[in-house]
Amino acid sequence: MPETNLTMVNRASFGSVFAETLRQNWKQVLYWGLGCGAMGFFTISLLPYSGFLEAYQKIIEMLPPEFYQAFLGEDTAFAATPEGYLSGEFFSWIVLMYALYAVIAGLNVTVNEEESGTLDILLSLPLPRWRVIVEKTAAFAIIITGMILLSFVGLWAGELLTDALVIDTGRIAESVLNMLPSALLVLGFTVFAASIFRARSTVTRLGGAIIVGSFFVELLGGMANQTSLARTLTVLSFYHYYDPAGVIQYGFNWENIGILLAATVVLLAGAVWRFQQRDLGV
Amino acid sequence: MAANPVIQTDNLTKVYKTGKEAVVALKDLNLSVQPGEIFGFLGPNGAGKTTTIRLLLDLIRPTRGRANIFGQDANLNSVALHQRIGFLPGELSLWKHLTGKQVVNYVASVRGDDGRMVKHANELAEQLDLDFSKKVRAYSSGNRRKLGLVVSMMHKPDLLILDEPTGGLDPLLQQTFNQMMRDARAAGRTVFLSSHVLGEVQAICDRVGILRNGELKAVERVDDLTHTNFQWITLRFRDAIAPEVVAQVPGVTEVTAENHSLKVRLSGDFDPLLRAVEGHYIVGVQTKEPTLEEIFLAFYGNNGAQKS
Repeated sequence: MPETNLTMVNRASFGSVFAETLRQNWKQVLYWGLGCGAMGFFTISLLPYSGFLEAYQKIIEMLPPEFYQAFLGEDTAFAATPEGYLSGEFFSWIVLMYALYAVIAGLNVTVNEEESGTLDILLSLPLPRWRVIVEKTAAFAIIITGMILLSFVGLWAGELLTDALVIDTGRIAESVLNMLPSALLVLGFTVFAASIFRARSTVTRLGGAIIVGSFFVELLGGMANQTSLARTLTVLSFYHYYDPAGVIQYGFNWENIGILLAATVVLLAGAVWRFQQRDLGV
Repeated sequence: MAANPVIQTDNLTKVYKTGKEAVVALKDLNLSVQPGEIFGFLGPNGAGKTTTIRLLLDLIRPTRGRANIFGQDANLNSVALHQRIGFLPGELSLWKHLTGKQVVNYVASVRGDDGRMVKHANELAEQLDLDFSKKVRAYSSGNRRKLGLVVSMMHKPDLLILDEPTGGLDPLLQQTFNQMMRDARAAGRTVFLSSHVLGEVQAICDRVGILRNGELKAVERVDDLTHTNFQWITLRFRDAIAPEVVAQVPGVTEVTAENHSLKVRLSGDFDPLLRAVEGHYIVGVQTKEPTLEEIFLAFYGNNGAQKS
C-alpha cells in the first residue's frame, strides 16, 4: 500500500475558493468603491450652491421631454429636488459602473481561468465544478456589495458637508443598495454566458451588450408610447427594474428587487448546470 | 491473482465536433495500468495523449466508453478520485500574480491541509531547488514546471498523472525527477506519464503504451519493447562486398555498406542472412538492439501504418 495520501486524511475544506477569491480581489473594493464614492461626494457637494437646482431644472426642461421622462418620470419639478438631481446625475449612471465591474468579475469566475489554463489545476483538485461557480460568485457578490457601500460613504460624507440639504439619508442608503440587484444580475448573466461560451472575448462582448442594451432599451422604451413594442421590450432590461427615481422618492420596490434577484438565481443555476455538463478548456 | 488496475479504460472514445466536422481525438482506448507501476504513454503531438489525460481527470467527457480509476468511474466519482490523484498538465498554467508559496497554500487549502501538505511541499521544493518566495510570473519555465511538480505531489497522491512532465527541466533536474518517480514507485504509488521523449520513458517506465492518431498501437514492457521487432547487425568482411548480396534476404529491410562492412536491419531469423554471405570471409559480427526511438519510428513509419 502507498504511504498515506495526505488528502485522504483530511476533508477538503469548503470555502477555500471563496476565501482565496476574496483575498485576491478585496483591493478592488477600495479602487472601485472609493472611485464611485468620490463621484457621489462630488455630485452631492454641488447641491448647496445657491440657484444650482434651479439652473439644473432649466437644463432639464430644455431637453426633449421624452428624454428625461425615460429616467426621471414626467414631473420636471422632481428634477429640481435634491433627490431628483441625485437620481438623474448620480444613480442613473453609476449603476453602469458597477455593472461593468460585474462583467469583469463574472469573467473571473470561470472563463479567465479556463482560457489561461489554471482551471485545469483547480478542477484536478477534489473540488466539484459547482463549487467553483458558487464560491467565486459569492465572493464577487460580497466585493460588489462592499464597493456599493463605499459609494454610500461618499454620498453620506458629502451630505454631512451640506447643512442646508434636506434629504433623507435613509432614502440615499436605499438608492445605493438598490444598485446591488442590478449588478448581481449582470454578474449572473456573465457567469451564465461563460458557462456556455468558452471564449473570453465572446463573453466580454455579451456582458457589454447587456449593459449597453439594457440602458438603450430602457431609454428608447421610456421615450416611446405606452403601447409600442419598444416600451414592451423594456421588461427585458435590468435597468427597467432598477428605477432610481422611484426608489429615491418612494423607497425600495420589492417587486423589482425580487424580479432581479430571481433572474440572477435562475442564471446562476443555469450556469452551474451547463458548466457541470460541458467539456472544459477545449 | 492480478491486482485491480489503478486505471482501466474500456473503449474510451472522444470525438470533438467543430461545426459540421468531427475529429476523432481518441478511439476505443482499452488500457490497464497496474498498481505501483510507472506507465509511459507515448506518442507524437496530437496523438491523443492529453485528451486521454483530460478524460481521466473528468475535465472532458467521453463520447463513448468509460474510464475507471481505483475501480471508480472517473466521471461519476471525480471529486473523490481527485483526492488520490496528483496532476501536472502539459501546458502548465499557474496563477501568475501569486507567489509560489501562495500557490501551494491555495492548493493545500482546497485539499483541506492540516499543515502536512505544505510541509511536504517545502521538502519537495528543497529537493528541486525551488524558491517559493517569487511570483509565478517571475519564474523561468523550468521553475514553473518544478512548482507544478510540487503542487502535483505535495499531498502524496496514490496516482500521479503527468503530461509531458520534464519539458523545460534541465538534464540534472531530469535526473532528480527520474529519482522522484522511482521513489514514488518504491512508496507504492502509480505513475501515468505521457511523453514524446522516448529516452525519458525508457529511463523510468515499466510499461509503455504507444498511441497514434488516437489509437493505441501497442502496450509493451519497456524491456520487451527493446527486444522486439528488429536488430541492427553489422558484418565485417575481409574483402569488399556489395550490399546487393544481402538486400533480398528475408527480414532485411535496410542495408548500408561501408569499409568492408554491411550494416543490416534484420527482422526475424539470423540464418538466411548467414547463408547469403556464405563464401565471404567474415571478420566479425556485431549486433545491436534498436533504440526506443527506432522502435517508435517502426510503429510510426512514414506511411503511417504500424509495422511489426
